[in-house]
Amino acid sequence: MSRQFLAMLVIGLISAASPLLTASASQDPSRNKPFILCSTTQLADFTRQIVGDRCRVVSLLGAGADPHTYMPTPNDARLALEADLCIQNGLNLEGKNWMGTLAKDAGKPVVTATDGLEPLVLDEGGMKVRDPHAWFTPRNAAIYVNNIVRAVSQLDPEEKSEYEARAQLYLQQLRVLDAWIRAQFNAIPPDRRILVTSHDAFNYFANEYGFKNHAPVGWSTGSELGAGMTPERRKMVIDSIRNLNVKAVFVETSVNPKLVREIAREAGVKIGGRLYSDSMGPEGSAGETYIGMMRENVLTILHGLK
Amino acid sequence: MRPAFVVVIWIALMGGLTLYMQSRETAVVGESYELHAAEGAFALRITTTFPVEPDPFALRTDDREASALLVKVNGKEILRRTDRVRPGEPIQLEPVPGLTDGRNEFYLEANPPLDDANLSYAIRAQLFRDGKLIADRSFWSEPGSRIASSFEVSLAKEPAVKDHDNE
Repeated sequence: MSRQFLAMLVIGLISAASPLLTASASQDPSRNKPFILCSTTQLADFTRQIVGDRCRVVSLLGAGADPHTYMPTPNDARLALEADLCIQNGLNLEGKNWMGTLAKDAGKPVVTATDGLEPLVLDEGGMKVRDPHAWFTPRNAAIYVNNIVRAVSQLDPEEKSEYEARAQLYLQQLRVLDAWIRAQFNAIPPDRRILVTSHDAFNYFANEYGFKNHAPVGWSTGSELGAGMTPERRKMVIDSIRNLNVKAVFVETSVNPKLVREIAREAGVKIGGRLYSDSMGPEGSAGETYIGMMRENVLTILHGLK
Repeated sequence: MRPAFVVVIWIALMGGLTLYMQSRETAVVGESYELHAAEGAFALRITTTFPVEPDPFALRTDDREASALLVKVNGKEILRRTDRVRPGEPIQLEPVPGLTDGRNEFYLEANPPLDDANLSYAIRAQLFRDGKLIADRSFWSEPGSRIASSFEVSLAKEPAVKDHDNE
């Protein structure tokens, strides 16, 4: 009888505890977290700096990928369906609005990180184009961060104060980065601050730190109006290199370096190094974060032009 | 009889577990104590060696403009300037709200211009009680960074005061 009693007691306890056991087993921490899908690596880094481990953050673009020409895959569409929030750069960086389309098709909210920013307007053969490469100054990166912190606080209001605290720390890191860049470039005389790169991505950077910027390929590597390479642009860049006595030209990690190598050979200048442009470096590299990417770019430019 | 006994034990166990889980989530409320406002007429004077400017790297989660100069006492904002403040121009705040008997912490935040990234800047804070200087602190920034410092002032009931630096 006492065996029967014990058996029933055990069965009772197990059945009572089973909901608790199954609940804890099904709690995959990454699955229960809010899921934020970003179009580019820079946006994903800004978002991670703000949310820490509170949210799952994924960048659709990988290291070295080109957002102008990117074609979304079926897996991207699946990720968009899973996402709680989508974040895009905007200003037509995502060629043919691929991120906006993914989010819209999945019925998910999309935040544009450049909202409120005053974009540079480029004159591309009589056409006015808003330059999308705004993250290239820490001052603009602060606008991205503020837009993202507002969006994630709305998504997950319970953790708002934590997101804001992380953002405050990161914004001060951006401030220090900006001061550091100014101090570094002080070593290059203003007349020698000429930046020749593969495509026209460094206008914000050049304006902020007193550089003249030249590129054979327009604001986008894609086929949009005012984008791509023209023979006139190519000739203009070679003439500039010769006339301005440029010491080095730079290739970009997300653009085929062939064209710039040809130009360097033709103009008789060296390749100063590879700059991170439309996406950051791979995991484990010095350019895997925004601050690391900017730091490495500055050091590469310094080394090339000094 | 025994199955009924098992059911009773099961209900008792589950009830106990539920009560425990609920009580675990209840926050422990700390013992509250009253803070008494410090007596006397207080004034705070702030002087900077640099033009204070609104911070382009400020956290902006509401519609408020970014601050150039911010002063808090015991966590409460008592002064917020969003305009440019000229160097050497003293800013006087009188009275100083939020001061209590005992220890008080001042927090100062000031944003130097971005262009002179190689320079360090200073800010001076002076606290007066009934016209008498009771605390005088200066803080320096690292080159390129803003000033964000705090200092503590102990206010006794009688206007005899100690000044502690807590940068």
